[in-house]
Amino acid sequence: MNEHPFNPWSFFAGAVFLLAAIGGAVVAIDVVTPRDLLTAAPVALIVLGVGGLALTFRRTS
Amino acid sequence: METMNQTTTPPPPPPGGPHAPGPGPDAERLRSVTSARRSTEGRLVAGVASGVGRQLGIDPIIVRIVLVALCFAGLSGLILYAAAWFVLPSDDGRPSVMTDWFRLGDNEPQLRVVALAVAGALALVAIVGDTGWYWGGPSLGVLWLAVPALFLYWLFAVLPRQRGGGTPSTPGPVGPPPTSQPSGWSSPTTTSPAEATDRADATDDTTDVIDAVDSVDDEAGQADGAPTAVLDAPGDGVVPPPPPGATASGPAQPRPHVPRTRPTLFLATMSVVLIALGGLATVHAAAGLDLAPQTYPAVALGIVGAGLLVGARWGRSIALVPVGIVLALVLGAVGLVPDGPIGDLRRTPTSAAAVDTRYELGAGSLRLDLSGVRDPEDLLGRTIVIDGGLGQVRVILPADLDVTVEATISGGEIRVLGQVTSGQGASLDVVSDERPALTLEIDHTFGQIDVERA
Repeated sequence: MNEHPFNPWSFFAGAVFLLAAIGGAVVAIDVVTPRDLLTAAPVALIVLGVGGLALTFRRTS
Repeated sequence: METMNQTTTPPPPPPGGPHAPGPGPDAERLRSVTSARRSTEGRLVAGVASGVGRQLGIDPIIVRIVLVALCFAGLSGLILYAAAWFVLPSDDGRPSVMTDWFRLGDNEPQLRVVALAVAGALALVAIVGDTGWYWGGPSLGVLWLAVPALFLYWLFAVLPRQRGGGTPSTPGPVGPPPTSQPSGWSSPTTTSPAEATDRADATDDTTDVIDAVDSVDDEAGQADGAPTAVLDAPGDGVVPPPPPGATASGPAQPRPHVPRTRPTLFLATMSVVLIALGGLATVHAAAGLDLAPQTYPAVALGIVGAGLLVGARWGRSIALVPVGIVLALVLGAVGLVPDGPIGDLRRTPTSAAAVDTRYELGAGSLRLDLSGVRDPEDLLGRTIVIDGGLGQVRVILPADLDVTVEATISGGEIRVLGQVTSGQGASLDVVSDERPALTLEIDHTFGQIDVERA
């Protein structure tokens, strides 16, 4: 595999899928309820969005 | 006397549509998926996956994996494949089955788009509405056989054939050239193969080589849109000079040989997915582990997500995105599958000892009638848990039994002893002042909760 410049889209998609998988897994094993997940999911999205903004400004500055 | 009249008519678009297929997916190719052609080369069944893969610029095996995965979500993959077989023409010039059957004329492209849109809607409805095909269900055996078999077939049969030169992974323009094409017309590519090769040599990464050829395609697209002087006196036996901007005359130039990167990251990720799912199923079956059905797509999705994170720095990971989307849809669909008995359930215990501490409902209705309990005072101090899925949960209490009810519902209506609430994530607690009291804990997903006295 060739090393290439950082691909934010791949990183973003991977992070979203990974979070969705973790959410599905913890619900499946009854660690949290779907209602708890509905509370945590927006927080995760906000964190991802803030990370994306930071990445955008870092790359453009 | 030989005449050569110059016009400003744009040249005909290259066969196969304005978006010549090439390596690497992009948004333009995605939008033009309706102009794909069923491939006569490298096909397994009807050439749909090969044609769509070529149109999108991705490996046909990715399309096949997605279609197979969608077959486990309400057979939507089968719907999409059948629709594509029906409406997409072949790349050897033959019309589509739909065109052949209904003798369609100029409206065929519009009807093709409409038919594919309808098929997509049907597939979506099938995914949302069907819950019978899930990873932990009766189709488990079929899944574990079909997916690895398909992968191994591609790995050992299709891939060597492609690498052996039988089927180039990025074939040239689709379909035969138009017969009305002037003899002097050439492919509207403004960069010669040699130039493309030079550009390819200028890079040390084969991915960049593919990008370079993509840019050549883009230049060709610009040439399509620009008025170009062409000759309309074919057949006079004289080879006219090439049109401005073109560097080669005669028949269409062959595309330069482009070394294609091996999809190492995709193959490695999918291999890990297969190993993990196989191991999980083995543990599930051998150790009798009680795994929730959504464990399987969650594990697969996690591995795909990790692969994409790796792909942010190493390898080409774009092919993992559609796989992840499909797995996310499967995970969501499986999560909606109710866990518990399905049907019209009626429980009418006649004694406190016959009352269970827990009742479950998958989908349908559950009616727990406690009004017939001969010794209701023995229920005081006990807790009954009801775990509902989809439908109605109804509890009928003895007339004068002290009871505390804690009811929650993800979506729907709650009615407890005359109090009503509804909405998403609704809950209603009715606490008895008397101690001890019977405690009812009802957790329902969608539908209605009714608690009333006899």
